[in-house]
Amino acid sequence: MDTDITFCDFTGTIEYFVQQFFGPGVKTRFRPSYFPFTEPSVEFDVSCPFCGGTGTAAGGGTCSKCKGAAWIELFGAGMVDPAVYGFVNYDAKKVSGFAFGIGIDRLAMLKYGIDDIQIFFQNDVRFLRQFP
Amino acid sequence: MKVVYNWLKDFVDVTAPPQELASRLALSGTNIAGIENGPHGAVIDAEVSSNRPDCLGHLGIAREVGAIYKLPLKSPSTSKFSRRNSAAASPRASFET
Repeated sequence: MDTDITFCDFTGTIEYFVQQFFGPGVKTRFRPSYFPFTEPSVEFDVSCPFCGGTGTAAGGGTCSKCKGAAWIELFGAGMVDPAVYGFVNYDAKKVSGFAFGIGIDRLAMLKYGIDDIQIFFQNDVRFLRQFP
Repeated sequence: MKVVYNWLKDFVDVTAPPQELASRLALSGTNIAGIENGPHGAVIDAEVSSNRPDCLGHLGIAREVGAIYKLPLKSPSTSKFSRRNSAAASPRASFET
């Protein structure tokens, strides 16, 4: 958050991050949604990095990662609801900001093609050492 | 909210097929969990968020559909509940002291 933060700052920041993380070929979309502490709220999708956003697996058939939807939801987000600032003594007329809830384990699963989130927490060093 | 596609047509003259309709709804704020086939045709499973209780009904979803496709909303007939009939049918109560 800062002074003069708009929804455009939010979309630009997120899209830049995702392009850097997944590569320039990835497509993105924001869908309107609702969360109690942001207004407006969105959910953010990327084109499925496993099937290239086609919904079809390499050997034919439905892509198992996006279940044929061609999109994978990454996180929910939004512009901080001005009412929230009152609780932390910020002036909602002066400041604005965006919030997003993204799990680094979820990002890692998508980037490295890991099926099961539990593997990250089983502390198998042979697995963990693969990530620099 | 399970939306029976054919029931929606009571309230809005939608011509788009269920798949396309579901996709348009999803991108306009009514998230769609999936489409099933029921005894009355396609059933769209709409995830209605807690700020939109007005969408917990076919009329509410029809209002969304009307907004997407710029179609007028057809109000359901309320002739069965006209003032004259309701007065005659309304329960009467009396109190004795």
